[in-house]
Amino acid sequence: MDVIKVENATKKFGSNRVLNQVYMSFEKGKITGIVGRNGSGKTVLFKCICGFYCLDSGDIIYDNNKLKNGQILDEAGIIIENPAFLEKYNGLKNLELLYCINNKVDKAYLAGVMKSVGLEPKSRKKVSKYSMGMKQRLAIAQATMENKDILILDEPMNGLDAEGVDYFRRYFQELKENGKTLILASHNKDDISMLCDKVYTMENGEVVSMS
Amino acid sequence: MINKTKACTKYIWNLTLQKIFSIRMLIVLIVLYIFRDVYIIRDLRQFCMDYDCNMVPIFIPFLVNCFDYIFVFGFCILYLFSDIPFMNRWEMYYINRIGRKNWIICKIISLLFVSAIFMCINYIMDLVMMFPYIDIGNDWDRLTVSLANGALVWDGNIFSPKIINFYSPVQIGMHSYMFGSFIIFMIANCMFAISITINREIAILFGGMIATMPIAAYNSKFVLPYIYFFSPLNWISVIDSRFAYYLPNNKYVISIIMLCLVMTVVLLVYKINNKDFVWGRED
Repeated sequence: MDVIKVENATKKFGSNRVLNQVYMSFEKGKITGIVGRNGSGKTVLFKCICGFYCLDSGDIIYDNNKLKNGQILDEAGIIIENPAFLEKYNGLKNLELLYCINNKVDKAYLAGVMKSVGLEPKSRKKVSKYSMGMKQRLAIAQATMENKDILILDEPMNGLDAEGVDYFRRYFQELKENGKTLILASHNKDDISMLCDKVYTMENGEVVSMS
Repeated sequence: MINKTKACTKYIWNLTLQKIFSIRMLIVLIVLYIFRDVYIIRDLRQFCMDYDCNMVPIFIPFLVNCFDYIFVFGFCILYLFSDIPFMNRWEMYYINRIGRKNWIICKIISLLFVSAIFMCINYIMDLVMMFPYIDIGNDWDRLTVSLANGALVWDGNIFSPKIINFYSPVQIGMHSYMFGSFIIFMIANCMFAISITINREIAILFGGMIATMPIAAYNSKFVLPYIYFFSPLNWISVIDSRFAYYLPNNKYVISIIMLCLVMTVVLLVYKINNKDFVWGRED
């Protein structure tokens, strides 16, 4: 069953057409990969699905309901481009501030989430002092902490060391086994071949193949 | 629902703190501090020191009557809010959770807080700069009264005898604080609305126009007397049609502020639905 469908999505910036009549579907409980060169339109597509960008034409369908153009898909955990947090707080505080929006804060639970991505919850280190890899781990934690059914992950392995990459490959597999739907963009062919059930290839804003 | 409101309150607080402790705010405060010091306060302090007297440290309502000071003040406000439309990358995860409408409402409320805190810092700055020659009370001190009387014969003085005769320090302080906060909020909100509906460049141009308006008003008040009706920065001072026929009254100012705020809030809430979020660089 398709949980998200992109139908005839077109997005232009001025005269530059960055998405051109894109059709995609994302199956429940599966990992769908999107590959393509820089500038092929992957991130723009992700932003359109999340509701950060409005489509010029076409639709995003979630759970058989057409979303309003630009409607934020709050049912999805997201990582888009480089992670960014409130730099003056530590990782746990950042997670708390985000978690408390829709849930009652449970510090022990959030500490567990941080441990599960390889971060030390008791550390008082501010995010401004975090390395790229640590920020990426924190971004994965914020995307997964609310146990959302859909995860939209744009280059989630960016900045991670080899050990981290191996760990998160297993982590994403586990999430899939727990019924989560993952949409993943990556430049790493191994990530895609090892994790994805279906792969779309994009070029110049168009889907050129599906495998 | 209560959880979300609480979380939005925290978010507003964070937005406000981010702005208050930003490099932009620091630069603005340093510029205002130096300008104010050179413009008047250094002389007043020296005066107090030489004659061993104290002063009521309320200068903003007088300073904003000086076109060169209000010009600098206006450009400081323009610079402070020139990072419109305030789309910071760290907010992406918040927008994902609170939605577009809540995001814009939180932004608007944080602008009000930033404006009020900014005005408050300005008052505190006067207090700090005049320390320890401070007269706390609801009567004008001898020095201010003397300087105001001097202004009757010497136009270069900032202290207006009309203001001193009609209002007490607390009245004028409260008046300028309230009007100042809401006028800065109104300007920021207008710039925000323009940046969302048109683009950032036009919004900054609008801010620049507002900042240069006091100069136009000062230079053409006899040719185009009603220009003060279109120069919001001049309204921060106590303006009273009793003082000069070309000044608008409080009713007019309050109505314009309310009208502007209602219009911009409605426009922002409506327009945010189909605006692309393009994350800007942090300070």
